[in-house]
Amino acid sequence: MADVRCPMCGKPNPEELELCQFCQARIKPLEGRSPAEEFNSPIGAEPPLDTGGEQDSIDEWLNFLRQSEDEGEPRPFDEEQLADWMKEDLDIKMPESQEPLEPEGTPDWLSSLRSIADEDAPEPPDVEKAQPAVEPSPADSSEENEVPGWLSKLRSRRTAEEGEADQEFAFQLGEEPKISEQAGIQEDRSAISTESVSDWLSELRGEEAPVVDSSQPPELVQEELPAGQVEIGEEVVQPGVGVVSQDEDIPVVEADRASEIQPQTEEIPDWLAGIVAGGAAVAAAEGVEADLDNLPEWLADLEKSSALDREEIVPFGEEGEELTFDWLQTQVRAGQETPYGEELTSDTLGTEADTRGVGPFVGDLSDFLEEAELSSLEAAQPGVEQPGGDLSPAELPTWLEAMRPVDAAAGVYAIDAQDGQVESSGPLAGMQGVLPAEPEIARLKKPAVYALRLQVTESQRAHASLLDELVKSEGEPKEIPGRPAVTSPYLFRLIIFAVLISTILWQVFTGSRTSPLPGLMPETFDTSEIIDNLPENALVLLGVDYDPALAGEMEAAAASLVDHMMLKGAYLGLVSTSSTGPALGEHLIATVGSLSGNRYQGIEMYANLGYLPGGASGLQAFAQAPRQVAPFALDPETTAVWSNTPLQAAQDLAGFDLVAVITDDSDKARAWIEQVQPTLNGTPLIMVISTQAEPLVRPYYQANPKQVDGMVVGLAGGGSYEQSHQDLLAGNGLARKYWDAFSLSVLAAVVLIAVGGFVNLVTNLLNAQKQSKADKKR
Amino acid sequence: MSLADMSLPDLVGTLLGFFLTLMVFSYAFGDNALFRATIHIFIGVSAGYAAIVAWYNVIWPQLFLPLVFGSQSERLYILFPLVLSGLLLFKASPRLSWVGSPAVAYLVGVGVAVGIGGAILGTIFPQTQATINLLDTGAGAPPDGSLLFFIAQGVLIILGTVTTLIYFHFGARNRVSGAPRRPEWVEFLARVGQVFIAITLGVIFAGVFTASLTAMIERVQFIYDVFVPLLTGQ
Amino acid sequence: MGSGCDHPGWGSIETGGADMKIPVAAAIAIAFGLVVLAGYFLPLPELVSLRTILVQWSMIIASTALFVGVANLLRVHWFKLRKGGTASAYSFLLIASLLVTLVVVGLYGPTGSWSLWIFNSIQFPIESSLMAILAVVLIYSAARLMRRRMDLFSLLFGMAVLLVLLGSAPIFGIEIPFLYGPDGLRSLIVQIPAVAGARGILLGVALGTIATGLRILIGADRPYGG
Repeated sequence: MADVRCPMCGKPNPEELELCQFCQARIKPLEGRSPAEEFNSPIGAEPPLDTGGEQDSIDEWLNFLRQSEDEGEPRPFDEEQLADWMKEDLDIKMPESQEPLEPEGTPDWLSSLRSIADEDAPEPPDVEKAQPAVEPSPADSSEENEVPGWLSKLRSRRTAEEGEADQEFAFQLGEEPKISEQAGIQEDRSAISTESVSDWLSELRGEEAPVVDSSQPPELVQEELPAGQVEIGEEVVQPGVGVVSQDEDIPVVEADRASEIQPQTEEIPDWLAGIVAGGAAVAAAEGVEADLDNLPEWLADLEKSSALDREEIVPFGEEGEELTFDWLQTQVRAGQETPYGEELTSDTLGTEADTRGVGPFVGDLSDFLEEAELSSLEAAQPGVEQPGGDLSPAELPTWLEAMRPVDAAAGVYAIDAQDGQVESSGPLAGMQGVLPAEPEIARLKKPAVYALRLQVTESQRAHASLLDELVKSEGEPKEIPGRPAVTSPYLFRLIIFAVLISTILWQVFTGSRTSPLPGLMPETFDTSEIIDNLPENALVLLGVDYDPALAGEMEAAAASLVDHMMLKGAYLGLVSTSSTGPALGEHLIATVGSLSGNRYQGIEMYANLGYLPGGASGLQAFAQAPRQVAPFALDPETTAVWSNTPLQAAQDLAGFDLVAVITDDSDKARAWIEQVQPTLNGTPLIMVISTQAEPLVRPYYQANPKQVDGMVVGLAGGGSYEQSHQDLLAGNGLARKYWDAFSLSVLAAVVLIAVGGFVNLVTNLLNAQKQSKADKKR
Repeated sequence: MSLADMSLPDLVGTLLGFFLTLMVFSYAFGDNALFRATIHIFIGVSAGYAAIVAWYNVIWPQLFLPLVFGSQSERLYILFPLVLSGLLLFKASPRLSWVGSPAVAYLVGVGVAVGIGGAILGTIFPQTQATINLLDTGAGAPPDGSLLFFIAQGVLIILGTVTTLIYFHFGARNRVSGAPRRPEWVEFLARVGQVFIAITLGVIFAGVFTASLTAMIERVQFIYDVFVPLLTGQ
Repeated sequence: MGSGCDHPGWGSIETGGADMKIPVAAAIAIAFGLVVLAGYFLPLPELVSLRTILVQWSMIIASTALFVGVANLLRVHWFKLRKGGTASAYSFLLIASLLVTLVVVGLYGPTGSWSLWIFNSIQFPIESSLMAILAVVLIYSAARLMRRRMDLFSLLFGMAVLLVLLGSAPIFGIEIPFLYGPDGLRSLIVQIPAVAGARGILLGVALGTIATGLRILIGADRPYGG
């Protein structure tokens, strides 16, 4: 069995199927309609009813129509050339003798409508009576060659409104250039054969239907399409609904007919009742004219597009919910003359209209349509306006309407109302939902508008306002709270300073010498013994490693010791690991000399070896090679001490009789102990240290074996040394000088610390109590 | 020496020292411009003096003299420190300070080695031996002291030394719950060591105060020695 | 001190056949440091001599470092002087005093009369006075100790301070026996618990020095920027 490819999706389907099993498109065209012709039908339009027509017969009469238009004379339509399906339509158009044609798939409501119309219609609308509403066209009365006046009128009206519709459509789609093209394409469609529609119009209107020459197709007034409806070529598309009509103008119904329709409201479905009610307010119908001479080619192709059964077309996705005009048009065209022969008279059309229940069509049909359109548009999604301007719904012959696709297929073609992209060029012009040939990015579009409104939560708003206040407050000058000139810490420090100064000044001023100097301490005793045991003209390496800040204490502690060494006649070699050491050494020598009267001057008595940079590294280097590290003295002559002074007897530090270090820093003392002491080889090492360095040097003194052989600690040590050697410094020892002031100021300091500490302790306890009470209250 | 016996330079110097002392003492009343000016003068003088001492004591006699007047071997001897000293001068430039990195590395390497050697040979071994010998009655027991006191003293010092070292040990095992903590017995011993450390620091603080107090006494004495003769005209 | 690793000249040396970069500075520090350390423990005369030479060289380079420090001080305050403002006056004083000292001491030597005059008249009084002012601050901080932190160790600290101070000198000329003197409480505190704590601190410092030094000698730490 050979497979047939679906014209829509291109997928193979079994031959016997009429609808595609994938996309539900009609594979076999109704009444001989070819798949290509189906493609030309507007999207959303239902496929034509399957009337069993043959493709060839369709082509024949279409060509016949085209030739008629070209020649300006409608050619007679040979009934024999009609396909069976056409004949069936013809039968449909014969309401008196035949039952109304009900195409396959006609909804029951439509059938019922028709039956109601058949029952209630007083008489078939007289096409001739419908004449006033239809401007008689000056068309050729020849039933064979005349183009229905309504068609020509439609064409002229379309031309006038095309520009307006194009603009709208262009605005919607952004394809202005294509609109005209599309419109042109629409115009290029072969005109449908002329057919007087006035007959069926009159049937719709009943008694007062204008009488129209049956030979002439009723002239259709190209009406303005209701709001929302846009003509695209032959079709009138309702946004959100779809194609609701063809290019044919829907014959208007006189307003006076609306009243006739009213009584029928009770007997018709509710949806129709609404239309009737709306129809009551319809204005006077406008005439519909058709210019047979100016039938456009598109009219010739009306067969193709009109194959869509209007009454089958439903709004997008809303089958049966919204009022469409398809069924209306179907009713209208019930008595329409077909372009295929004079047998299709307005009477038949009118009869058909009656049988189909065209009672509701009273008054101006266009107005009625507008009302209904508006009501349907309220629920429908806004779609893209189709180009083409205002077009009255096109008339479809019955046989064409029968060819329209069924409702089931209509849903397939239901297009998302938001996808209003209508193809404007090419073979698919006028169709919606066509995949664009151009990439999305290449097509000009109006950019989407996104809401720029900032979404802010309440908490964020609060934070933002808080930050705003902070920023604003930054720029505002704030009054600086005045600081009190006198605060309690400031007062306390002043008191301390005053007490100390006054205490010292009192002792200095009075010159008090009442406080006894400290007794001999073990470390002081050891030091004294070592110095006492020095030989005559001993070589003593004196390390002056303290800062000028503590020169007062160090000189007070070391002066008696240095004087003791001077009294022993020792040659002093001064060296220091600090840059101020040479100057301090000189100052010490001068001070001792001024106090004791033993003035050491010149290189013969002492040598200032200068500065040893590098800290511990310098000491290590000096300990290893003193001659290379400190070859010269800092005297004005820059004497080579290791060759011209008593120091020449010492090859290394072990050659010295005593190494005495005067330092205020525990680290420097440790460096001397670690770097120099191991190289002394029995040479005693004594230290004169500050009280602040005592805790960290004493372990070396108290070690077993001792690393420091003797120690003089601070002012008390110096006083102890002076006490044990009262002949030193001629009794003018610095320790003695400072001792009384020291003892009193120390007591004052202790009192200040104790009182201040007690006050702070009590304050702390009170604050802690308050804090605990505050915490408990919380 | 009275002011009248002083020479003019000495007198001017004494008076200068007097006023500078007062300017520094003005800090007791709060920071002020006089104090700041004095401090800046002090920094300038001390920096200049240190630079000259370094030049006189090291650079000139040990670097330039051998380079200019020394023999070939002496010049070769000082070539390496000369090059490194030249590289070290680039440390004064922020852009080219990287050039002096080798010289700094040399100083650091040698200094570190000296420090390690001194720590091991000068502190670790002797102090450990001294701690061990605390209970050695034959090593250093005082001839006139009681043995009990000697032993008690030794035990206390050993206890303090060990617990102080334990206090500075911060190794701990990870625990499933909470932060790593030392074992309980380590914590107890560390607390004991903390007692000894607190006492030691208190003694150090007292020593610092004593030193500063002595300096204040010396300064006040100096002010008195200058001011009174000025007042009395002596 | 800047890092030398960012510059190709001193940053590294490429080992042949390997992608390992060895910083030059680190190599110098490690090599010379190990030689000096070996000289402490290996009684080889050559090694001892080499160690002596290396250490002497370090003294020379350290003197140059002092020059660099003074030069940097001069540069900083020169920029401050050019910048202007209130601080520029102090910078002027600093630069002026530095230059005068350089000239005077350079002319007369470190132990020249005018050099000693500058030292005795300016540096000595100022430093001594600064140390004297420290006494006020120390008393104030000791008094505030109880307010800031009150626990067992603070109490012990405070008590040690007071006892040592009280036992440092007679009170109104009266030597308090249990407090003052070689057998007094002060001496006991200083000679026993303070020595114990100090010995522990010294051992800990020595151990830390060894650990830090070894880290540098193995290249784990590079404070010189290598």
